[in-house]
Amino acid sequence: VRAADRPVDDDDLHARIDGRLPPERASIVDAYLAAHPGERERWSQYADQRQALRTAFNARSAEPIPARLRVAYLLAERRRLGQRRLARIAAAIGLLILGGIGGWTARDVSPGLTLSPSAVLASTVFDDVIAAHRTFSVESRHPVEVGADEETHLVQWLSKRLGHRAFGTLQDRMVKELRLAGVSSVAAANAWLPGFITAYNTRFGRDPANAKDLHRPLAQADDLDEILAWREERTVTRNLTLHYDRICCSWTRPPPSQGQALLARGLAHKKVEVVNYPDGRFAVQFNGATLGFKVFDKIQTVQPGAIIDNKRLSAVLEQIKAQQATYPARQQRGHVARQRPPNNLEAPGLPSKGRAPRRGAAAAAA
Amino acid sequence: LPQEQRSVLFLIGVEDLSYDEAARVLGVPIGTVMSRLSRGRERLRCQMHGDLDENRTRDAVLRRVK
Repeated sequence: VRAADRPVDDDDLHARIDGRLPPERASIVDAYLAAHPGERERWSQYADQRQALRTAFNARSAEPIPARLRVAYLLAERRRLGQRRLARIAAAIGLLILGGIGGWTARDVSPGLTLSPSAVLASTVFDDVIAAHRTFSVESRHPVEVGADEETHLVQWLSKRLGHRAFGTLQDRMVKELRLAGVSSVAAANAWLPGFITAYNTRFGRDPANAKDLHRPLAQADDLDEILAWREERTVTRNLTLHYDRICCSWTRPPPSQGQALLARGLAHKKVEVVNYPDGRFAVQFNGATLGFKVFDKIQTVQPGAIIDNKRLSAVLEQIKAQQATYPARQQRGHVARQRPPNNLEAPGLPSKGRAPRRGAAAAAA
Repeated sequence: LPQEQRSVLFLIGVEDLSYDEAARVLGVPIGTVMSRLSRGRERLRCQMHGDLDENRTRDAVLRRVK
């Protein structure tokens, strides 16, 4: 199809108005308009409109265009923006290379930058200083202010800082004894040590009530996880659910096996054991048999992933998350105050922090 | 009128830019300029002449894509 033979369309109409048509095409369009009165009317209206716009803006267009609005300027600015971005990238690459070259040459020039033994020493010293700063800077009462006679306070403070209990370790006793004995060399210390150990043991050691050694090797049948698990007793509700640590456990329906179904039906109002394994797993046991269950957490927590995943709801979820952060610690699943060793096996020095005694029980004890 | 149709009408009708120049200034393809021009003029016409034939079915709605 030759360009001249195309049927006349809107593009031609507008181009005719704007005078952008080649003459032979313009004659075709004119003929088409003569044949179609409706189109001709529309065309004349477009032309009038264009004329009206031009007159309306004529006063404005007669005066010189402000420099900032000139088309050439707009185009140049668009180009300049791109160039500026390019220049920025180029500058970044240039600086990178410059730094690399500088570092590579300085390697030979400055001996301080190579890892000489003194530098290694200095860096470990810095590490020590930073570690010490981290340990001490948060403290309100400075450890230097603790007198040498306040060893218990120092041990307490250190236990708190280190997160485990340095309980009764008498850790600085050996250092003090060394100083008292006037030991100043390794050989002298080695000669002095056996006497110190016997003296220490006679002074602080305690004989066991029963001298028989009850340690025994771990047998094949021993399941340490079962032995070391924390167990709590719960009563199954009439709805075959149980509540533990603000988690509602219900039996999976349909139950995995027929035997369990019978078991589960008879379980209402029975006592079961919630087993909390050292690695954080949960199990529910009835007479030693593990029951399948599903978990409903009564503490609902908005996870950060949900905020990212739900584009429409993210704002709402974010607000909910902020609101949940203001809840008291017992209503927040991951709160530090909730995290406690389930038993005192993990931290033998600590008393086992079970549930706080009920008010009635406390009153009875008093 | 929407801003995009307004700017096309202005650049082509008042500033006398060619379609090609207008496309470059606005950073859109020339076909987009044409369609915006067409829609803008049609809409303006409907507004000026009191919607008298807005519902008129236009003959050629099928457009050739080169």
